[in-house]
Amino acid sequence: MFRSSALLAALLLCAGSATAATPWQSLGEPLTAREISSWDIDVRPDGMGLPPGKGSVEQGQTLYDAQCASCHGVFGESNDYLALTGGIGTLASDTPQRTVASKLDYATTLWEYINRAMPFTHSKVLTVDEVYAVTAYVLNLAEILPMDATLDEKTLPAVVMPNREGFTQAHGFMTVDGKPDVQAKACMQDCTGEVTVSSELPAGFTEEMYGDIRTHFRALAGLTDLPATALAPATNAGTKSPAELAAANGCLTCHGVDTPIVGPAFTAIAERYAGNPEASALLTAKVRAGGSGVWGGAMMPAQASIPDSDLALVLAWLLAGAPAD
Amino acid sequence: MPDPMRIRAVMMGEVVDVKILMSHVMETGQRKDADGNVVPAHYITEVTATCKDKTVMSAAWGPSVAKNPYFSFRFKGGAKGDKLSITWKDTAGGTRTDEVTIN
Amino acid sequence: MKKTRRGFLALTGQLGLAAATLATGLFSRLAQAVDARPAFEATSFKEALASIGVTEHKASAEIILKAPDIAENGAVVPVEVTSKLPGTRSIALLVEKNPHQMSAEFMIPEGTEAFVSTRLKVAETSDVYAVVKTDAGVFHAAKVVKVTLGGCGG
Repeated sequence: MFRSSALLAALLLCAGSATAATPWQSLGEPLTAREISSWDIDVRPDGMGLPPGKGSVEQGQTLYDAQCASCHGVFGESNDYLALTGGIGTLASDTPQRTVASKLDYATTLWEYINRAMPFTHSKVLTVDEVYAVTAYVLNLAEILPMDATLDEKTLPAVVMPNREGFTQAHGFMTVDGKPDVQAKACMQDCTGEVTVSSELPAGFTEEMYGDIRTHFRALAGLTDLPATALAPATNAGTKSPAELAAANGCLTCHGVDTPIVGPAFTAIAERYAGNPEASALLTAKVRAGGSGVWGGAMMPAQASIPDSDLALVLAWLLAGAPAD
Repeated sequence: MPDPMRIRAVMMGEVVDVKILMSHVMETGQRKDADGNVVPAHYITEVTATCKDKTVMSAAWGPSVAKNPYFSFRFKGGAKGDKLSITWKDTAGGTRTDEVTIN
Repeated sequence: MKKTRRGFLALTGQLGLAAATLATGLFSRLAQAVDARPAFEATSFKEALASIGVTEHKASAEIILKAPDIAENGAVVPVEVTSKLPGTRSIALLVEKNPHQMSAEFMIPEGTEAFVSTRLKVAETSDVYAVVKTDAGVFHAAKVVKVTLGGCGG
């Protein structure tokens, strides 16, 4: 609701202000350095944009197993979502296997993508060093880096990906019909010669309706101000609360405590199974085997790695309505 | 010497969950190379898993198991710290054994 | 090779039947054959099953066969089988439209769960079968996997 009214307001503001002598004078203000840095996130093949930091294959394994393996497979082999490894050298064959390892031309792209977008449902929780470590481990799983490798802002751009010379944007990674994710073409022809304002809102209308329009947008600029949930690697029960165990085992990647993400909210699950004496056994089996259909089409991958003791505690907590403490 | 396998064996309650990734071409013998010559068949035919002198899994494979095979199974009777040994043999007389500690 | 074959035959315990299948000469289709095991040389679904001693099999909902509805790449199709049938002895995976139908047979000893997960090559859109031998007979589950052919590289 906010979003659509804010957008509408922006359009109204543009139209309404056109009547003033200096129509755009009241719009905009300089961005702060921090706001710019929150948008300036690209990383280039030569390493420009990579922050200083480092991480090893060994450190990456712990993080990967806790945060990534549930969707990508313990060896990066699972194509339930997107296979990370395998397929090197198959792109020109009859059965091209497009994986991160086989398709990417620069390893910096992998770092940038993990940093920006992974884990899928709660991105930006990994520290810079952790992103280097996970990148190193994925490249090790792909047989591109040795077990004892460490990556930093200098060594990462030096990694030579097997498809360095062969990258094309003709295919997407994930869709069956191979449509690319992004294939923008700049038009730059048949442009209108002159732009005319053809309708206007009465002066002052926007201010009266929405007050200072800039305050609606200022909050969107500083994305780095959003709180990040720090996640620790999985450990045994006893030292952690059920909520912490759920986080450590990656449950909260796809389930919110009281909001659905990819999968249903914990509180919604508790409601559905309230009073069902079999609930714990049913859900244990469900977590272990994975599946889809009960809550919608999204597939829950089978969860083999969460220890029984952790799972029992998490489910007991979940079925009690997932209380905050 | 063929490349080592990647093996994970993790206790899941009283069951050991085993995941293996092998490095092998799994050539079917039906594929032709760029010059039109048939690429000779070369694939894994046997896989066995042993824990404490007991065979916990044995499998016979043909050429239609995918290249760089992934294989997962679960067995009872193992414990944290036990050794699990996996062996494969292929059509060219190649073989490889790797061992991992269950955790 | 001899050793491999003998090991496999002993494994399946189908020596007599295997010899009979060999005698038909069907396996000679591939002149450069390196695999003397009849189950993997068979070129029909029935023949492949016969060579592991299966003539009759019934569909069972107690076998859960997981495979994708659509496989973009037939070279790597994840297949997972769980059998809830008591006394499951072995799980075989077959792809009906492959040149050789038999993909793999897994022996399930006492104490090992009737669960396997691996990845197969599927040449074209085909039924994938899991054939499970139990103390009470042979059962199967099947699922169509649609293979969309790969195009150019990149």
